[in-house]
Amino acid sequence: MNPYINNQAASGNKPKFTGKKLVLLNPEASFKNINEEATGAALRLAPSGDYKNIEEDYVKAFAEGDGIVFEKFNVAVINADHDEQVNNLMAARQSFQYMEPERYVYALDTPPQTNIGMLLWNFICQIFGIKKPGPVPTDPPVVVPPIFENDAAAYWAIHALGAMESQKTGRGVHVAILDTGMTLDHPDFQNRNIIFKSFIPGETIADFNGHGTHCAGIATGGINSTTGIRYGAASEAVLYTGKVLSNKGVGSDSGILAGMEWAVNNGCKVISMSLGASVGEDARYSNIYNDLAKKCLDMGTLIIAAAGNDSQRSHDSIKAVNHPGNCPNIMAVGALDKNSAIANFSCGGLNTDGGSVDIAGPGVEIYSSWKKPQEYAIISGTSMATPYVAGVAAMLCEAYPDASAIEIWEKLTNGARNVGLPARDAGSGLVQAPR
Amino acid sequence: MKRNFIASVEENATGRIEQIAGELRQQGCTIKQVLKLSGIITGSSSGKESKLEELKVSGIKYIEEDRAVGALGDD
Repeated sequence: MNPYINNQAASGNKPKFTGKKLVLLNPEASFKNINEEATGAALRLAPSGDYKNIEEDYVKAFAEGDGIVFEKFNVAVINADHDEQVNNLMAARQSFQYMEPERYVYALDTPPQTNIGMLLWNFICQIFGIKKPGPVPTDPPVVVPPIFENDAAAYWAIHALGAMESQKTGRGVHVAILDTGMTLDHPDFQNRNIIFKSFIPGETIADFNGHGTHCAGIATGGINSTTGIRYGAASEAVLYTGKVLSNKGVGSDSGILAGMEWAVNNGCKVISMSLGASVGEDARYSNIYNDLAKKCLDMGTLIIAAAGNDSQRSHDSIKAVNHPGNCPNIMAVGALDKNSAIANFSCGGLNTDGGSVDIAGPGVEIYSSWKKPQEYAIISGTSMATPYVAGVAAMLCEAYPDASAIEIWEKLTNGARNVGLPARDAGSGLVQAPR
Repeated sequence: MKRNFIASVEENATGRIEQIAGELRQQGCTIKQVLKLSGIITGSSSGKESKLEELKVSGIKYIEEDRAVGALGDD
């Protein structure tokens, strides 16, 4: 059974791609070089400087030629039905470096635009920062959001991290997953040394929920031992699994705090907590958790927690980052989908006193290990984004063994990829594995 | 009404955290855990207090409700 195929959510009826291609150009290349290469591939490209900044002229440019080169931004937009030429230019590895399909852009509360000229103009404005008069935004510059796909080597989330290009595996780094326990005899965790403890009275470490096994697989799993497809981040980290949530997926602060102390006592460099409780807007964070998280940072342990799943962005509802992720000394993680869009459910940084989202990770339709007999499942949540950040943190700890926990925090946020989302939603951006 | 609580002790009082836990017992509290490394005491109150702040004996920095917390992934 391929659980990904069997469990994929419907993507809806809206078309995603226009057929045009966006191509990133070598910033050193002159238009003369670009034009020569394009002409050699039987493409007629015009420089954007030949046209005024009004939509009619750009539409005219696309009608008269095969595309436009935006020299200022080192980007070309190429008409549909030229895939072969574009592929040839990409293969030549000269001025044409990276290609993505151009996407439709939909307003949240209006039907999709059907005027192709207006649509294209709006898209160009969005990509290249051609702005209407108004206040200057403080968020990162708009970029083309990357799209990730599953393939025979890895699920999309691993590609989103750039983990396939990393040599790091979190080798020897102690990582704690505080969750619903662990399926200790999972086939992908054979020959792994797993240290465990249950903080739930009357329940062993055995995970009869599945959530904990899923999170452990994301952070410290590797490949599916049957299919060979990779889904886990730090496959050589030492897994500490603390059961602080019951088999029903519920726990309490007291059990979580005990789990955190256990993890720190055991030298865990990273603690991943895919758990939370809703808070109101303007609610203050827990001083107790925040002080403890600071103490953990000082002792070399980074605490990472889920931002929460309370939002319904499709209904214009964004909710505040959950407890305890809303503590300033805890790294709060938002969730992205494979199109680098913020997940519908992902909470936002609404509260000014703490409560910000610090970083984002893959969190929609995530494949990972699961309790038996199913063994694998695809689920969504900021719970899934969190252990990806924890796994990358372990990779960074391996890469920089002398780095403090605060320095690992900074490497995570400074190294995150800008995917064009506001800091309120995705913090510093999409977490990236060390290269 | 009995309340479950978590409490942290002042930085300079971690060495006497057991003593502070004892003082909470004298207030009628049931102590669940004393986390020495973290400097945290967890337990439940007698229910005689009108608010948790009343249990803030000497050496306790913060006292908060022990909240229910859940997993954040949907299957």
